[in-house]
Amino acid sequence: MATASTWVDWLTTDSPESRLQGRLAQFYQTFTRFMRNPLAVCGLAIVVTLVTAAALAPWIIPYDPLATSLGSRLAPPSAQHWFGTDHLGRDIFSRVLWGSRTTLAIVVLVAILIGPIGMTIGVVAGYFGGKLDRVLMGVTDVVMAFPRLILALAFVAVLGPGLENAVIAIAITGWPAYARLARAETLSLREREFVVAARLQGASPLRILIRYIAPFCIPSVVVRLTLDMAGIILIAAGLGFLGLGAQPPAPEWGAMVAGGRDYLIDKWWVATLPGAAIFVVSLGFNLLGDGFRDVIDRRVA
Amino acid sequence: MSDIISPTTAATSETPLVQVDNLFVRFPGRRGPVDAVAGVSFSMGREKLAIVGESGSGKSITARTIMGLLPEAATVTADRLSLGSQDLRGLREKDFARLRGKRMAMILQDPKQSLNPIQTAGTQIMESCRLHLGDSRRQARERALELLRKVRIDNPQRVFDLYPHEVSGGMGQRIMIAMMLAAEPELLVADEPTSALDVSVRAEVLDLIESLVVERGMGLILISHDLDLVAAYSDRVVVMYSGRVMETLKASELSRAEHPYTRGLIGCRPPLDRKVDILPVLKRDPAWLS
Repeated sequence: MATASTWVDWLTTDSPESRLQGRLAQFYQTFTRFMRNPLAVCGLAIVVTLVTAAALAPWIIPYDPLATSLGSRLAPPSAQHWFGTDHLGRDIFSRVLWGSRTTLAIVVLVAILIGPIGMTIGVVAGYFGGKLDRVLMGVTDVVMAFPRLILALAFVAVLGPGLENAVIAIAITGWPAYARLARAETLSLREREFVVAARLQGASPLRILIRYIAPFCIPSVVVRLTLDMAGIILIAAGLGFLGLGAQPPAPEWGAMVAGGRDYLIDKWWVATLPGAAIFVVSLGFNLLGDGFRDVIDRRVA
Repeated sequence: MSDIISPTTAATSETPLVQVDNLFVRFPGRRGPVDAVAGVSFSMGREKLAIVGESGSGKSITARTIMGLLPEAATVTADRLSLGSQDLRGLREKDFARLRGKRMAMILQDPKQSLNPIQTAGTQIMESCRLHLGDSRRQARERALELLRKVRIDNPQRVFDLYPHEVSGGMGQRIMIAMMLAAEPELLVADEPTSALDVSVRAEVLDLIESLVVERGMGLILISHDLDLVAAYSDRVVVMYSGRVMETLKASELSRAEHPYTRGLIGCRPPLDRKVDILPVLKRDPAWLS
């Protein structure tokens, strides 16, 4: 225990001896502030569980998620099949675990697409203003005017069903919020003295955007992203439900809910348990996002 | 401040460094356009020129016009507006970016606001070296350390790695100066360079600016409303009121100024050597605006 308390001392010191210690101490403080919020911790636990489950899925699933066994189809939850089996006798628990990989993949891919795209558009529009701003924001508003799921549906319909196309479609519908956010930040940053000073130094607009403006937009974009994750999961599940996301027999939560739709009344577990997974994970991301916002972007809180 | 610098250099006979002729800067207002600068003319060589005037007299706008830093709403017209042989009228942002830092630079008022909070002092100075002198990382680092020494920072190695929130106002302003002088511009504009600083470091920072300017043979435009400071640190003074130049005179003759506005400005300062109950207030003569 002695070592543990020295570590804490080292992390909570008022006079860090090195830059590294200072950084770690800062991080530790933020972390403790985050940990004081029970809901945020709950969200973090859910997301960590999701990530672990996805990472370890090949080793922890009790059954092959694709193996059908018509003899034990639609079996209720039991000691052998924790979540029961579906209409082809596949183990739902294994499929939910395996499906977490799909969900996570979609969320991560969409996030790394829409964050940078939205930010680039917003920062450029905000910094240069004028006609360019009007054109870019016009496009943004047009995309924003459509309900996200409907627009994503339209894009998937054009691109063809499948996981990659679902990701692209969700990304195309997701960036406008980030563009708006980054533009708003840029408008205020643009007038700040240090940006003027950079211009006085002779820095090119590109340089100013990358080194002086974009870094300040990142915190709010990250917070917004974590809060948006739940929405992304729901849209992905929605596309899956309609048969436009991951294709069967791949286990995808939305598609699994769709598969259980026919037996909803008497074999409730087939649709309910994957649905519960969607619910819990969305909730987890939302709580995590709220917690993040409270610690990194305290202006909003 | 009496021990500081007497005006020496006079305008050189060749092409003036800065030439402004009949400059108008117009902003749209609710009741028609407003001229923030209305017919300002002056020219300067590699000397120290001060622009003084009240708030709103157009001194900052004049300097920002030269630097190309006006808000988009402003329209600039002038018979002549040039830096050396470079005409500054109608230049685009891209062209200004090429001149700024390299041929002309400007020191802003508050170093707390004007340094990038997420970059170290060293990085920001290196930025200038890399932009204008095409230095490699290593060269830029060397040069930045040298510049920090030049602005009289005792421990450049340490300051190099500090972030703006870790330095004092005076040190911040020195870093700013180092940043702006990196590419050895011909013209330095200092817009109230010491207004945001503690009184005790003002003289130091001004001494520094002045000695660097003299050493490098640069032109300096010092914008201020502090007449004592202007008298001590400049060769010539342009007195502005309501967007117009009231008079131009030698700094050494400031105390003998004849224009009623300048006299008024001088008269309304609280004197240190005797007690005054009510300070005189400027009586504005509409004739000044004609």
